[in-house]
Amino acid sequence: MKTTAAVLWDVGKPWAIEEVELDEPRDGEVLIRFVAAGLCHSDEHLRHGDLVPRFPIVGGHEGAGIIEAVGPGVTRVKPGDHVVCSFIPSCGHCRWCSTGQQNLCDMGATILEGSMPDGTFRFHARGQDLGAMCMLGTFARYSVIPQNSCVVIDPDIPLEVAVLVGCGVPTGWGSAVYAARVAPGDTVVIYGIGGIGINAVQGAAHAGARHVIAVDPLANKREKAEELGATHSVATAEEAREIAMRLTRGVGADKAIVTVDIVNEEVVQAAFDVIRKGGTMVLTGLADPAKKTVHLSGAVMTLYQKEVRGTLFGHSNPMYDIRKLLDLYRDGQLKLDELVTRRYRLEEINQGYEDLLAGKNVRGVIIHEH
Amino acid sequence: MQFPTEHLFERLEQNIVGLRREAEILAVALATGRHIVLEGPPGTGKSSLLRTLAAAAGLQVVFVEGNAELTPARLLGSFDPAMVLQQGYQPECFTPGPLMAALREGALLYIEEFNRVPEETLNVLITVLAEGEIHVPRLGQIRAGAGFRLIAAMNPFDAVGTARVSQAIADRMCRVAIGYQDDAAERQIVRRATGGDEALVAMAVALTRMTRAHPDIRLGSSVRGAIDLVLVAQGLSRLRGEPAPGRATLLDAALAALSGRIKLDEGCERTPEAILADMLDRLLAAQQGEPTPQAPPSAQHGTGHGPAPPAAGDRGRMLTGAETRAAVRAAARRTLSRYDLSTTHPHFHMVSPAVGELDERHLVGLCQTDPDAALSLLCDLAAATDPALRTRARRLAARIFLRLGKAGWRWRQGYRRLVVETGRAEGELDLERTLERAPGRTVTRDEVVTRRWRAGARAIALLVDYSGSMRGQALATAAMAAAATLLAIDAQTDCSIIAFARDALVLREQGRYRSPEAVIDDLLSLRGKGVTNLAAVLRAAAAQLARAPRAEKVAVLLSDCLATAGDDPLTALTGIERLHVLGPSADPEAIAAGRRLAATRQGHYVQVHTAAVIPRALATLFFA
Repeated sequence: MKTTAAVLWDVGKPWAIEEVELDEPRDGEVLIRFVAAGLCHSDEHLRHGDLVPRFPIVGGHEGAGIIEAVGPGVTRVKPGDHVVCSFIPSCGHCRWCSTGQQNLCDMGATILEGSMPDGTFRFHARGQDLGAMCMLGTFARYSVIPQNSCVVIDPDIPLEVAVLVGCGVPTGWGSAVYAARVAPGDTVVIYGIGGIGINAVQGAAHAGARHVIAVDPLANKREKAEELGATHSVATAEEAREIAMRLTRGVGADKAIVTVDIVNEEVVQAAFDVIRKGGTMVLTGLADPAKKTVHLSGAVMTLYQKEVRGTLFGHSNPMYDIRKLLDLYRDGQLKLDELVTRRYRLEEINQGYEDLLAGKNVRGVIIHEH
Repeated sequence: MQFPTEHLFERLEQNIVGLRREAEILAVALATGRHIVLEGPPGTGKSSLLRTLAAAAGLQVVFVEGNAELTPARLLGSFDPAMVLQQGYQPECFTPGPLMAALREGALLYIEEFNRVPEETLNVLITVLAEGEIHVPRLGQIRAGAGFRLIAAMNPFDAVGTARVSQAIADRMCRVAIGYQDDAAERQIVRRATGGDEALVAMAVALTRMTRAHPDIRLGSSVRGAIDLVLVAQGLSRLRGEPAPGRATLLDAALAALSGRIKLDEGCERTPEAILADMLDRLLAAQQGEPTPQAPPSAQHGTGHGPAPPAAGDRGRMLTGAETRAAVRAAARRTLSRYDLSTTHPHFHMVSPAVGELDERHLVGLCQTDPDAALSLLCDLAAATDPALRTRARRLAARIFLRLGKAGWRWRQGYRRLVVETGRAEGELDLERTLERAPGRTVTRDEVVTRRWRAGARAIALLVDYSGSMRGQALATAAMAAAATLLAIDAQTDCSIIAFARDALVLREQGRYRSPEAVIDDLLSLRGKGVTNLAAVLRAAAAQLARAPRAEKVAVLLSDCLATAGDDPLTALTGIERLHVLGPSADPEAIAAGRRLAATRQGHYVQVHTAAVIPRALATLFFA
């Protein structure tokens, strides 16, 4: 069939809205009609070369939609199911899936390749195979994806809200709750309030943090952070350090979480410095893989017994956590509606990413027209 | 009247700015013999439009100002007592009122402030509208002349001292709604009325229009405010020898013209003067191309930065306006899954077979067979996670509760009673009875028989307990009580609705219009748990009732009356003259507590096991 998608042809090129050819689903694959797609910074990282995929690629890895058809051997979903996509598939039986670390599933190895698990492609245009970001390509109106990326949700939750729990919400919330292991009474500093950071704020507040200090140079982000659970919000790492030290009588923060758009040495250093002896710093944000962004004093790390942790997907298990977060939303404990700053048509995707880069959006969402 | 032509509208446009669409509808309705009600806020040109149209079409108009004193006799006319005593009931002894004059002349009868007219007076009009004639005792049948029409004008947003216009009247009239004109039209109106220069007129209109959008102002000014502002500013600047009005002059003029015309929100801690000065400064800054300074928000607790500070000693707080809205929104966040609904309500899948669906017919049918199951299901559907189902359920709930709430009205005997008095010489002379008392001789003052409608004004505060675990059944009872109470509002009765747990949330303030649908919608969101602070809500009720100084102050409390927070409720009854209790609980302790509380203010205790009995229970309390 034919469908419309936002394609990156090469690094540095704008998003191109193209008519593309889409193959039938094969073994273990499904045809999905996307209802909504989140504008996450990672797709924009592809465009700027901070993450290096195989080009050309259909963008989008935060998506929610309805299953239209299933290929042979599909058992996890059926046509008509409402689905939130996990940006990392989980096969369910590799070493990681079977030990409660679905976010590390071996199938995640090729998500920047953008091919299906069998190594072939379902999108084609201008005589070329197109990859699909994270095997999803949610910036397409229709896509063929692995059943292993599908998390079936209750149909009474609006998909245009549920879309957020495919990537940004679990990554941020899990960074605080699972990766940083925020405990009641903790003082937590969160650097960078975007689609990830704002959910780290919610997660820290849920986990019972006594102080949640949000750091962002932009006033609109700081305001949003306070709305969603931050007890303090400041513009610079320096101010955050002062407040954290004052609040803890000079001991330092228990946890620091780095969720900035592009990680650099300065923010890592600031986060490392703000935590107490035995404290934990979590690194969630991304940067160019070739760049060495973590340069820290090993002696300080040893003598103060500080812990530095990376986290992918906020240490979440997508099959369980995506549904759990939606239940928290249902009960009014997790805020999702407030995260969406603006909705765009697919054709407005470049505008959407401009707004993201300009710091206007906590989260922009594409609502697909069908 | 002739069918309207373009020529008519050309003549209209010389006098009226804009309103072309409304003028066309009005002209055609008149030409086709329809009766009309014009609805809109004050100062939108309702009267001007009608006067101009009537003059242009050569129609006669009889004007009447509607108010609570417009009795049937004053509208229709009455026999002159002195002449009757001399000559007996002769037709020439009848002094025609405006209705009679309009009927005889075949003229337009124009009643302003239509919703302030007492119900018994409006009832006289029903016959005329329906039959085109009226029977006047001892005078005979009066047929309406060919051109007779009723034109009524009213401001539907005015909640003080107004009554609902009955369906019997509304069903016989066409309705033309007139809103505020747009910016350009208002400028033109002010220019025509004042001859003021363009900049001053633009400023006055802009400021006046700002009063209608300001968050702290409940009721903004009409274009009349802008007209006065221009005239006062011109005069002041001439007096002060300024070439053009400066800021001080503009501010003086704005305060004179607008400060009395605007009505502030309750709980707004700023003065009208401060708000107007602030708006004027923003306007002047914008004119000079300066960046607009932010208006300081009105002083309020807990705006946007987490919860408000807790009150000392758990006295609970009274929340109004924006704070109430925020509390209701927070409560509405918790929603129910389809699984949850289906395990609680056996009828759920029949009423909502699939996501987004609500089978209204099935639910209304269930209302007939098992009203309690239907209403409690409906209340829980109003909290469904599914947004489409939730929205439809909420719309339906408001409709159903208001319809069922009316059930109590069948027992309503009318709170206004016609009292006949001798020797008081107040109200209307009852000629017949007076002549009976003194046949064929001069009547002494003590023998004069008069009639008057007597109705004490009443203020009712309905206090709804939403502490404990509120779900379908309890919510249905609360929504029903609110609907029945809101339906009791009329010219003599006003009410406030306050929901409470730890704090008292004022959902509808005394003397302030809010649609019954919105109040019921708020209640359906309140399914929080919490402690029961009776003292706080009784104090809040007294504060609301105090806004109706001349009314009898009645509180109706829907609660198990077992206080678990705050101080002793018996110490918080100051300012409540009568307290009735509706008890939803069958627990003997709760019943005893309810009875005790009601007894302190000579009220009744009524057991309400189900929502269905509420309307009747309230009707007996209100109209017994």
